[in-house]
Amino acid sequence: MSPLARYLLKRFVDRFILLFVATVLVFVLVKVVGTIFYGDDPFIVYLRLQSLQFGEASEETQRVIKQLIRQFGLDEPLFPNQFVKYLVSLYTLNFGYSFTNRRPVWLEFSERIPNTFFLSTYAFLLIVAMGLSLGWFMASRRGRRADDVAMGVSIFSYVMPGYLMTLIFLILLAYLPRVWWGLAIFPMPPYTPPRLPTVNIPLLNISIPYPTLQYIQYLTLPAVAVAVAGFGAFAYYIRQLTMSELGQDYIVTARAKGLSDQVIMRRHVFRNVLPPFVTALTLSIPGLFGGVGIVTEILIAFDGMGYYLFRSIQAQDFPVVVGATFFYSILTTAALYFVDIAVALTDPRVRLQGR
Amino acid sequence: MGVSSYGRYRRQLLVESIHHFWSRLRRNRKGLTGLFLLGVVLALAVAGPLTTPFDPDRDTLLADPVVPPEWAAILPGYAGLPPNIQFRVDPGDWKIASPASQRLRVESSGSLQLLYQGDGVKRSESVELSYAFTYDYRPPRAMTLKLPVTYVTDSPYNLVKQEGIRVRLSINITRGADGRSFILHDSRLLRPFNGTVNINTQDQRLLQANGFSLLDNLAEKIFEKPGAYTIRLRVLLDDLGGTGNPRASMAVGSAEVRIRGRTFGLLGTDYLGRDVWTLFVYGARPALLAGVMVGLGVVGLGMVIGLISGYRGGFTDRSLMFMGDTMTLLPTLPMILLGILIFGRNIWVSLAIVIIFGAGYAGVARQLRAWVLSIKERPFVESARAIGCSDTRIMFRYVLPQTAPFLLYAFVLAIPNGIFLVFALEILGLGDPKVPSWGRTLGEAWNGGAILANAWWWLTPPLIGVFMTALAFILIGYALDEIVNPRLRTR
Repeated sequence: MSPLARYLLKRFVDRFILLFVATVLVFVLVKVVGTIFYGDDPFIVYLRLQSLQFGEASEETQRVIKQLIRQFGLDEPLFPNQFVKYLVSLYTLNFGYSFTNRRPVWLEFSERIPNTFFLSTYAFLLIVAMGLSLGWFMASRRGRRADDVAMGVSIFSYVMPGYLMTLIFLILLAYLPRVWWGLAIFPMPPYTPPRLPTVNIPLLNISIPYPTLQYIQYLTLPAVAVAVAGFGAFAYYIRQLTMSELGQDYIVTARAKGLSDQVIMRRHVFRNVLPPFVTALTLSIPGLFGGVGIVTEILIAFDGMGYYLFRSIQAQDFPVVVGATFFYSILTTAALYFVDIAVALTDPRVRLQGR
Repeated sequence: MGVSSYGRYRRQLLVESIHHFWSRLRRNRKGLTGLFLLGVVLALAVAGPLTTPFDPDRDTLLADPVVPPEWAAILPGYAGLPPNIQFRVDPGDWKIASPASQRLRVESSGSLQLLYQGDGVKRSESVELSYAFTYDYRPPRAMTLKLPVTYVTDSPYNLVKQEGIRVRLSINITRGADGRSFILHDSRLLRPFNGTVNINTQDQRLLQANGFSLLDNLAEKIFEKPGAYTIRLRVLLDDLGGTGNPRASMAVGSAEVRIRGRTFGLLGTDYLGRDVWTLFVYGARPALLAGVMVGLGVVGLGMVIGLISGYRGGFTDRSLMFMGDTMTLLPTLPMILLGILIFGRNIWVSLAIVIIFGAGYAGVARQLRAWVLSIKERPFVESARAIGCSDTRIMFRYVLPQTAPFLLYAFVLAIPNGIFLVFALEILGLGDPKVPSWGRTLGEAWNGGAILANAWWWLTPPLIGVFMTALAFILIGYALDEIVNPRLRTR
């Protein structure tokens, strides 16, 4: 097995363990702690509440409740029976039925997952592009006026969280142009993106939505706002990395060989700066995909998973909460795994040793 | 070397290092800016509540809801908006317009007394008091008038309508510009008045009595044009005659007139008419508290884990590091929301969950572990082990102080994270509803349509506050980074 394949497999196992830990944690929080706090399984509490409108005391209602409890296996011990059932149904994307509108949770999700996925990916790609370019710009102009200005911008961007930047962008770019000049450049909340066309994959027989230009335009404001608020830390990090690289001995050697500054920066420094930068992306993913992204979605009333999760939290809709948390765990771990692949591509040590 | 002299030596070392640190920080522009901002926020947190006489939550309707600050009246869009106008009309201030007859006397010593002495003959008497003032602003949205009036009729057959004295009180306001008059109170139309007459122009019955639709605003209609206004208070006595010697007296106290302002204070009001400056000033404490609590939690947790895993090594190290990484890489907000769903909206619960899931103690632990790995190979650790110190003592007494600069740096940089996470929760309405925090104010402004109302005075203060606080800590953190991390010092 080549070192690269071994590395990727090892990382895959790592990330899968992460996903597994997340699901176990959700089980503990909802089932075990929830049972302690609510005095009963949340699902049974919901059943009792629902049965009130039919008269709880009646024999029929009691019989139906009992039958449902048996049907969903709620009378079995939590571990291992219910736990295994929970794991199997989660990993087969069977999230049960929503408490609030009684549709299958998966149906609710399938309408919203593309929106969240494309928004987070859009923002993430923008962050990487902007962070890389501005950090590089600062490092190559260090000590000059442009560096100072860019440094101020990056500190501002680092301080501002994405959701606040979205609020400010909404006011400045969506609301005020409408009021002052009657220009509807960007949509105002609630954000309900246009429906996506789907492409059918022949052999697997599943249809996958793909974004259109109109759709991307619709997402531009929140994505750019989150990116503008997120790239600063990376720009600063790249600048610091470059500064410390420039103090290394091999730079002196390269200079002694008579290489021009540009060549040194591009051929030597950049190669060494890229791997730690990509690794640093790893740490920002949970906060971006599972933090700022959700708050932004809620604030602009975006028709995505984050807003749906928030509303179901308010409605105490447990199946949806569990399913959405699982979705966010998958989104985070998948993004982490893609960054792992990027690390493997940028860092030759991984390819050679399978670090 | 005796214990006391050793202690003195250590204290001297500490003083020297602090001095050295301060002299470096003083030369750092970022650090100084950060310290200045931190000073501003601390001043707000400590002395801010002294700058305002109001309570952030209890004092509602200080002026109209969602009105701009008073100084905004110099801006073109807000020119001519009225501030809070409040005046008292003392008994001596009333002008007695129609002279009283012999039967009806007016005495104005202290309070205004109207005295009537009947003689069994059927008649009506009236007296009119007026008070003039000028109003030079754009129309207000509400006006209140409070007038203590008590009357006593000494008629023998008080309840019988055929005999005795009936007293009718009516209050009008007349616009000087076109002489139009509006009913503010009429005891026959509206309600009995013995006691205090409370007039509010938002009363629906007043609107109907004046012939307006319920969608109109009476105060806006009354004060449509700037100029002179006259409040007229008319007392009508109907002596129905009859037996006995009926008497009536009426006492009028000082009237309180309040025209609710459409500009208020330093930063205007929010949707409940609370003072935004008060909310802003009171918000500094919870923000600092949340930041410092999260910072302490993150550094404390990271410190213990990093120290143990770096010093012990082996399986402990690997399992602790794995646990920390896993916790950090879980999606932040779903976990926090799940915790809030289960445990309820409690500030301490959300702080604990934020510390565990959201603020990255694993990063602190990992960096500390790297430090400890290099420190534990130094000779003084070995000598400590040689004289038989326990592992715990070596870790916490000898290794830990060496990492103090790093811990300070990590603490400072963990604070803005915590502030913003808690801020996000508060905006979403998941914070403590009783705490007047910046996040709560911003969430209310955002959900309460501050954008559509153009309420910049309501929307920007919490933003500026939280931004300033976070910026202070981040700038100080960057400065500490440059001081503590010697690699970056040489450019």
